[in-house]
Amino acid sequence: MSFGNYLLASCKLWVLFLQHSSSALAGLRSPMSVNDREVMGRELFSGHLDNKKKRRLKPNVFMPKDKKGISVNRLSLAPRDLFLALARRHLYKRRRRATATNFYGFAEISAGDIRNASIGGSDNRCEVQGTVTAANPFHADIRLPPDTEKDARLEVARQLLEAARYEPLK
Amino acid sequence: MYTSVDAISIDTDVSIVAHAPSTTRTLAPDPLEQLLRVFSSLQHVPMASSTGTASGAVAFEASNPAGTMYEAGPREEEPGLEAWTGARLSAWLQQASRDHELAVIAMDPNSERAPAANLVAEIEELANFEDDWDMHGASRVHRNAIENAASFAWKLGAFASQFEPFADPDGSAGLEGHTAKGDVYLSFAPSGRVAYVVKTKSGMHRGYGADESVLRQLLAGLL
Repeated sequence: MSFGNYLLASCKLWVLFLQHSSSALAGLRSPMSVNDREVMGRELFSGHLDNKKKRRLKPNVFMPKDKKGISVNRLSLAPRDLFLALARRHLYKRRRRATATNFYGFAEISAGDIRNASIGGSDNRCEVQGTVTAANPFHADIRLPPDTEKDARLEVARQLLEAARYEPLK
Repeated sequence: MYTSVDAISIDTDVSIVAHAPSTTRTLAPDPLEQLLRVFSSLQHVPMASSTGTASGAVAFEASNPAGTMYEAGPREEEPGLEAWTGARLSAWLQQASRDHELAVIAMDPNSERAPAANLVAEIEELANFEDDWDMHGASRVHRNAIENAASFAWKLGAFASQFEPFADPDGSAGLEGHTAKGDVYLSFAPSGRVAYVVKTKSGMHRGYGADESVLRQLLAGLL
């Protein structure tokens, strides 16, 4: 994955984001707000898929290291190959410094399904919000319900896993 | 080359199968010599050491985390290598395997402990994950977490075949199980605390810091 391809993909994403932002602002919406119908994608690397049944997602797909958010891409707002270019760049950087890791595609889930995931009732739901990064303006974070203990995070991961589906690389 | 051995099973008197991470190989025809060779090539041996003496006598030692030491092998006054038939080695390994904490076990391949041994071998593979394995800052799986999960896996017996391990980004070792009665998700922290989620048709239970009796009760309804 050359740096040039990565840079080009990032530039294309920014152009698309500016278009998205203008139409969102014209409709008096924030470009960061995520529609329930939007498809979010969690990058899948080695360790996220079952070793024996490669197509089955493991619960750790939606488990963050701590109580911070879970990074996803707003897949429905830009061509898939642009997000793939970013993921492959991550992988390239990783391979330069550590052991082999593979990229397997995305775990896809709708924003509506993310918001349906809750702990102890409807007042304690997950939320998803656009969080622009320099390389990826269509980056978003799934925010967990506040003050969730480890078992609650495990339960949220289970609910998100149930709603998600694995989209392998073509 | 083996870097660790998680389980050793005796198929016959002359065949030993060693389950190492990502590897299953049949060692034959001289099981004792082959086993010794495997042991001597280990870079990481949590449970055992082996020694060979100039006279050809062989001894195996294995210790568990509690410090209990098992010893086997011909003493100086005993006959040499030829006395250690596969059957005798098998008998010793079976004796040693009675300690659940021991990483070396001997078993008949049809033993009800075979699924647990396989699961433990898979859990040990979690040690291969390095920091940032998920590209989002995950911690490597802590050795204590792996041992806690493996210790629990031994207690699952034949039901272990319904469980699979996963790396928890916070450094814990996870196990997920799926049965006809429901699903269970466990995360074993290095500290010894366990987070669990059990979902059955009758409802969902979850908790953090559960002791084993609670876990066993929950699993009893599931398995």
